[in-house]
Amino acid sequence: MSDVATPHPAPKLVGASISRVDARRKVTGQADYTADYHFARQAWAVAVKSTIAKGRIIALDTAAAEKSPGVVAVYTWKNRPKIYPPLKETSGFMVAEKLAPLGDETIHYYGQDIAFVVAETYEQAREAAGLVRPTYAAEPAVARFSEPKREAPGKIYGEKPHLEKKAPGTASVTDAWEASPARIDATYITPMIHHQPMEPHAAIAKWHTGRLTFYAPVQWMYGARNFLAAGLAVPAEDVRVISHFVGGAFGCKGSSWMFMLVIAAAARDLDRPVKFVMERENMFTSVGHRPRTSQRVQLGADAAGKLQAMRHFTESSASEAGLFVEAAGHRATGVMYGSPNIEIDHQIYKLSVSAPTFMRAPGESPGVHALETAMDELAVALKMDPVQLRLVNMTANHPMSGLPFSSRHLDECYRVAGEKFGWARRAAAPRATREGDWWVGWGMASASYAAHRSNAQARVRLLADGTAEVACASHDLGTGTYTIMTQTAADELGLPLEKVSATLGDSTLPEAPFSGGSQSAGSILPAVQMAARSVLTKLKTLAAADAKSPLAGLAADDLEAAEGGLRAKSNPSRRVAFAAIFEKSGEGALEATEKTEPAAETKDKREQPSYSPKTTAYQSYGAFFVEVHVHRLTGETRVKRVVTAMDIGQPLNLKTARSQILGGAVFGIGAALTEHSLFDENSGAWITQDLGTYHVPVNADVPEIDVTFVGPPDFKFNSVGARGIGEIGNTGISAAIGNAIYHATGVRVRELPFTTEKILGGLSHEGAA
Amino acid sequence: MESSSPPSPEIGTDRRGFIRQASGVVAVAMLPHSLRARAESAPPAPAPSASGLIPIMLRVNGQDHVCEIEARTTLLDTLRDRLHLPGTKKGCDHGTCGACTVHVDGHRVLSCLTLAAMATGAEITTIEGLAAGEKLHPVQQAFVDCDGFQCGFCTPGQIMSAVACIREGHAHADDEIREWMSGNICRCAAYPNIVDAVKAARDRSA
Ligand code: FES
Ligand code: FES
Repeated sequence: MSDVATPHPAPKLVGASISRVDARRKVTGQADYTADYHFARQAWAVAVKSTIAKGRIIALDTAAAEKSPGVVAVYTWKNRPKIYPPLKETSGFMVAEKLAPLGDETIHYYGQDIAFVVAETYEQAREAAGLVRPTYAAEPAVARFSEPKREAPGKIYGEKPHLEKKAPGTASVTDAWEASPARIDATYITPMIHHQPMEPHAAIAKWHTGRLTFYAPVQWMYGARNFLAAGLAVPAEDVRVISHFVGGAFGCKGSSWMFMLVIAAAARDLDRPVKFVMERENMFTSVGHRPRTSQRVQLGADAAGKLQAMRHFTESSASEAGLFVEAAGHRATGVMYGSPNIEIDHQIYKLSVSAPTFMRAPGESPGVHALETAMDELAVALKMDPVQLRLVNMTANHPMSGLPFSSRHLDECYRVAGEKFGWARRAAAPRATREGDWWVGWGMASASYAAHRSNAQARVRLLADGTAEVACASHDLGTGTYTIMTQTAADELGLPLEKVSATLGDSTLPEAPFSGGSQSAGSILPAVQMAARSVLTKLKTLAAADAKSPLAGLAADDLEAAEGGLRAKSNPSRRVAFAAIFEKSGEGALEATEKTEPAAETKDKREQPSYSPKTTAYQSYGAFFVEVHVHRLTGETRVKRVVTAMDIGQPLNLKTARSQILGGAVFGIGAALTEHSLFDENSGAWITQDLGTYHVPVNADVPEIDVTFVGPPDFKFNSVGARGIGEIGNTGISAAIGNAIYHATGVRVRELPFTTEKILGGLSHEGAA
Repeated sequence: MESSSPPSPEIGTDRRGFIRQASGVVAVAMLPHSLRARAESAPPAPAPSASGLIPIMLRVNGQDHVCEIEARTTLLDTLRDRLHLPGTKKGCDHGTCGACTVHVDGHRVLSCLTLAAMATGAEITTIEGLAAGEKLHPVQQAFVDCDGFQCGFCTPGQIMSAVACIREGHAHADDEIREWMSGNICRCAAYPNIVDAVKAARDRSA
């Protein structure tokens, strides 16, 4: 356990600001994404989509498509290639959409795959796809948000849909709320929105002697492999998934999607490689979205602002094709502030829509938005400073479980970001500042995201030439995994960065978990450390066994790796280069693969310290301070300034960590101001199906964003002290923007996004003068 | 080549401009100057062969490539699938994301909205042709230094736009850079770092 306080050797690269090791490949066009591969004899597949949301296909005329030049095959439910769709999730993979692909003539949602056309070229496949003629017997879609019955989902991340905590003697949380001197009761709406990574989904399937190589951008190599193996009825060892670079994912590449099976089965059927690249428009129908939420939040506080009761009741949309739960209350009100009485409830309702799935900060993003807006409303009601209100409600223990947090520095986030922002100069009253035609407002909100770990393996190989390789079946979604793995291995081995190379994105490498829940870095880096230490142990044994070595006779504990060799801790001048040890011993390379099992760490002391979710709560926090300008006549809102402080444990690389927060924050700016996947409540069709109508932020929408990391490394969580960083940036900022809009204009908008018409309505109501 | 006019509504030059005109019809009047000139003065295109393919020659990164394509094939698909230069990315295939940005005679152009047959005889530059051997172009180096990307998928397009943005004289002030780089979406949202990279490259090449 002594290693906890002083990681050995002292990290030089971990925590520094380092340019990405894959940067050169990315700026020269050499990074290989799935669609960049091209194989001899490859054919192209294009999907044909349903244009109704519910009903049956009564006829599907494929004659013209089949006769179209270059067409190799047209697959429909009648001649589906051999697939055994695994509709039940197992621990080995995830599927969001639980419908057999090309299953039968039934239509469950708009944009469902009804046929796949395979042709010699993309142009030919696309043309022929347009010639497939379905005739439908349409039924009324279940498309009105208010229409379907509300129902309790199953477990939500292992918790019940209804959670309640009551102070002794309190009859109900509602009673406690009603008895509170200051009360807020408001309902917040967040719309369906879409991930839209810049790289569309893609797949290339290539069979050779009964074995499949499958190129696809995925967030879980082993998950995709296991899914394909099950769905194609082949052993998992006969499936290799490759995903060297993933062009953004944000959750929509986490589940395996059924089209992957169709592409692989078609390639098997045709005995040639088949390539499929999803059209941008189909990225809106086929690969998940964030559900719509309606969240009723009730907060009750005493006159000093101390929370007495919190109720957070969420309804989120789901699909007949998949029941993903956007657990807003659980992931926000369940973790943020101390309160003696808390009640959280979740209900879902099923629409005729494609299956939703997790999207960056699932639950937290809409949940923290609602809670943090309600907190601002409570501060207004109490005439309290919003930061002060939060400070009086800090808690050292998890609000629901009562477990102590491993490390929590939310108050420090407020202080650091608030000072940088200049919060102390904020006018208390709204509508106090105008610059020309623009109302100026300042708002703030807290951010929060849970810290997760899963089992992970990594392999480290040290070569006789003094270089090293580190590998595991994780991947880099833009998150910087290549870089932080290289940093970690280099630090452990005492090598400069350039001497270490990282390999990722191949399911034949040691197993790594799903890259989601911000868990990758925190899960795989401890395994990298262990593997590197195992390699060094072998090397130390070799060195100490050599009677002529300057290190002869020293115990492994007396040696350390530094500057490309081993040296005595007590006397650094006693040293031997790695190359010399290899030469003497005749070994060509030393290799070790190690596995971390967080759940077993209390028993297995090899990997310090012990991760213990049964006795400790792990959660990251942060604060956003935002300045907005709102045009007094048009209601246009511009985010002018963002300052954030994040308590995420150890930032592993200041450069890439900052980028992760920027990315999350800009996701939040999009959610706050522009992103809204319009869903037609009559037909069940998506209306926004391109990036011209679905507005993700562009450069001109994004101001400078000031990011500071606060708080110490969290060595109670793992041996690198890092709790994960990919999602927390997309929590809280939309509330901070809304709170700033209120401060600018006096208009409180309770439905995202904060588009001009919603603000303008309030502005004219308030008198726009 | 220098221009201080606001974003032009020409196809292939700018996402917002494209959205403004939004018809999606490729009319000669809307083509970038170089392509327009070619469309007006070029000899009639060779007749398609029996296979329906037309032979074309494209000059990409200083090298001539001869290939046979269907007349409807875009410059983007030709680069990626026929010439095996996959550095240029397809993000949307209809002019809304900028991932496919290349230079045609020095101008930034959306290759997904440009038919390959329209670019014959032009000097086409893609991300693969920007570095001088091992030495990165100053804009590439600035993107590395400033972490002007995360997943890297939009990056070839961002860099081609950034090179043009500086060359056009649209990189003086931060807000000007933001505006003139807004035709390239980065969902990872490296935007503040992209602005830094454009400034750093501008100052290095100045
Ligand atoms: S603008 Fe051409 S691919 Fe998006
Ligand atoms: S770096 Fe991922 S989209 Fe720009």
